[in-house]
Parts: sequence; structure tokens; C-alpha cells
Amino acid sequence: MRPKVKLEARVPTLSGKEALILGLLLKAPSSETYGLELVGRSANMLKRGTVYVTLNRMESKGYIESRQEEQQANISGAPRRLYRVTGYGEKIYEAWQLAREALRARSLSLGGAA
Amino acid sequence: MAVLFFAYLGRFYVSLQWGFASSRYLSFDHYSARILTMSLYLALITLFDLVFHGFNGVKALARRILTLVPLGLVSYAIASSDVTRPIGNNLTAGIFLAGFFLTYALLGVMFFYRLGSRRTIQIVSSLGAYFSVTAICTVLLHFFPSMAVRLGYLDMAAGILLLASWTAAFLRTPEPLSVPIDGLIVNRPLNQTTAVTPRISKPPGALLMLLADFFCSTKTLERVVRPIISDLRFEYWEALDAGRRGKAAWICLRGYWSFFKAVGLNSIARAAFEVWQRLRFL
Repeated sequence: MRPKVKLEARVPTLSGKEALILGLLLKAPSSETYGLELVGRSANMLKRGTVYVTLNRMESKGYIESRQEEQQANISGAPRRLYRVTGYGEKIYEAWQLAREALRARSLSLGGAA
Repeated sequence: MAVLFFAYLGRFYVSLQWGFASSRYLSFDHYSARILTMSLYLALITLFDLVFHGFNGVKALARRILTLVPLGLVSYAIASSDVTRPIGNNLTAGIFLAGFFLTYALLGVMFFYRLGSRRTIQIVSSLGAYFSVTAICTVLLHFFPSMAVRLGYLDMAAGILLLASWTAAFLRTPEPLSVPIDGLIVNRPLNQTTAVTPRISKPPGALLMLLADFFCSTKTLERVVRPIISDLRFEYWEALDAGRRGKAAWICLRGYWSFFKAVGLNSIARAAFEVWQRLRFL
């Protein structure tokens, strides 16, 4: 039987969609953003059906945090959820960008050698 | 309505003069049925426009032409493959069939999404009943040609009832106005003096919430389902505020699809994760 790996010991992973969401959240003019706003700003790269599943996963990983919007008396409808990037998520995104740049530079150098 | 009136008046007159089995009646019935089918189909497309609030002269005309083009092409294809079948017959048969299904589709959408006024519902449902009776008459006539006279009377009765129903709808049923009030869509009559009960309907996504509440965990409900439904309602009311009922119906459909995609995806992902975890530690 393989030993159980602790959560902290695992290498953090970041998929393309998660990186896109982190990028959008970090670029947002206000610190908190709605899911629908993310879909609108992603230029069709995020879909309504999947964005909340990805956000849920990212929240479980600790990259983002969310809270329920306060219900306003004059606005009808269910309160929406607001998302913001955590410090950990910001660091992960920075590390991901560095890794991507390094990979791009490496691939370019390999391409040049060929 | 005018075409309907004149077609049935003409049929009644010809049947009285020469009888149901006469060649004159059959010929009149043949041509009037074609004109009537085309007119009812155009009336149906107009009803679609009215229900989805996109009524605009040029756009409506373009939509009608666009809906007739595929039917015309299919009819032409069938007629050219079989020389014994004239294109006119095929086209009207196709239009009749499309009209039959589109009427019930429109009625379904109207009931499901609470679209349209009482008057429109009355007009569409009577059209559906008329199409159904005519379809039954055509089928019965094919299998039992001896029943031609009785079926002729039945068809005539259906036409007269449709005419009466439409007349009653225009003269007696008031046209209501839909307004969203605190999450409830209330169809309020324009003329407050008429005794019409306001229609109160649930906000979109109420059924999804019930389903999700039963099947999903609290975490999924809070993090995935509720945001999807709040987005759906937000966009829905925005579209209703702008007076775009068609867009509101489309948002509902899209929201329902998003819900099933998200909940399905979430369940599959969780199941796959659990299987992987179990396999990993075996």
C-alpha cells in the first residue's frame, strides 16, 4: 500500500483555465468579481456551465476565496457570489507565469538550435 | 381570419349546392385547403413573433420567408424525385405538418416559460385543436374513404369553431401586461376594470433549486448551484426589464443547460477523483 501524501506536501497545480481566472481576477478593477463578470471578460474562453465548478475547485485549493453578496432591499433576485484572489493564489499565479516564461524561452532556444 | 371565414363559407355554399361527394366540392376543398394552410402557417409565425415580442414589419416578413424556404426546398426535392406528386401538394402537406408541430411547440414554450397573454394562449390552443382535428380527418379519410361526408362535416365544424374561438379571443379576452415584482412575474391586465385574475409564477430556476437541494451537497449547492441560479435570474430580469421576452426565454434555456452541465460535471469530477484516490492507495 502506498503511503498517504499530505496535502501540504503536494506540488500545487494550476490548469490553463484556473490561470485564466486568476489573471482575470487580478486584473479586475475592483478587488471582488462575480462569476458572470468573469465569463463576460474572458472573451468566450470561460463558459457559464463550467466556471463555477472551476471556481469551486480553486477555492478548495485555496487560490481564491468567496463570499455571498449582501442582499439589497431594492434589488430583487438571489444574492450573487463574489470572488477574490488570496495571497497564496497570487503567489501561485506569479510562479506559474515565471515557469511559463522559462518554458517559452527554453522552447525558443531549442527551436533556434534546431 | 378572413381567409378562414371565406374558405369555410365557400365550402359550405359548394357543399349545399353540389354535395360533399361532388367533383366541384372536391376541387374547391383542394384549392381552399392549400390557401388556408398557407394563411394559417403565416398566422402561426405571426403568433411566434407576438409571443417573443420581436414583432417588426420587415423582420417578421424575413422570418416568414426564411421559414418557408426549407419547406419549399424539401417539397421540391420530393416532387422532383416522384413525378406523380405535384409540388403544391407536397408544400402544403409540409407546411401543415410543420404548422402542427410548431403550434404545439409554441404552446409548450408559452406554458413552460409563462409567455404570452391569455388571448394569445387561446388563439394558439384553438389553432392546435384545429390542426389536430384536420390531421385526424385526413388520416381517417385515407383509411376509410366511405366516411368522406361525415369527415367533411367534422372538418367544417373544426373550422367554424376555430373562427368562433379567434373572434371570442379578440373581442372578449383583454390583453394583459407582464411586470416583474420582487422576484415574481405577475401578468397584470391593462384594463383594470375587467375581472381577470393576475397570473403569479415562480422565478426561473425554482425547480432546479429544489432538485439541487435534494441531490447535491451543501457545499456544491452554495458554491456551484446558487451562483448559477442567481446569474440566471439576474440576466432573466435584465432581459424582461428591456422588454425582450424572447431573450429571457433563451436565457432560461441556457441557464438550465449550464446547471445540468455544471452539476453533471461536478458529480463526474468528484466520482472520478474518489475512484482515483481509492486506486492510488490500494
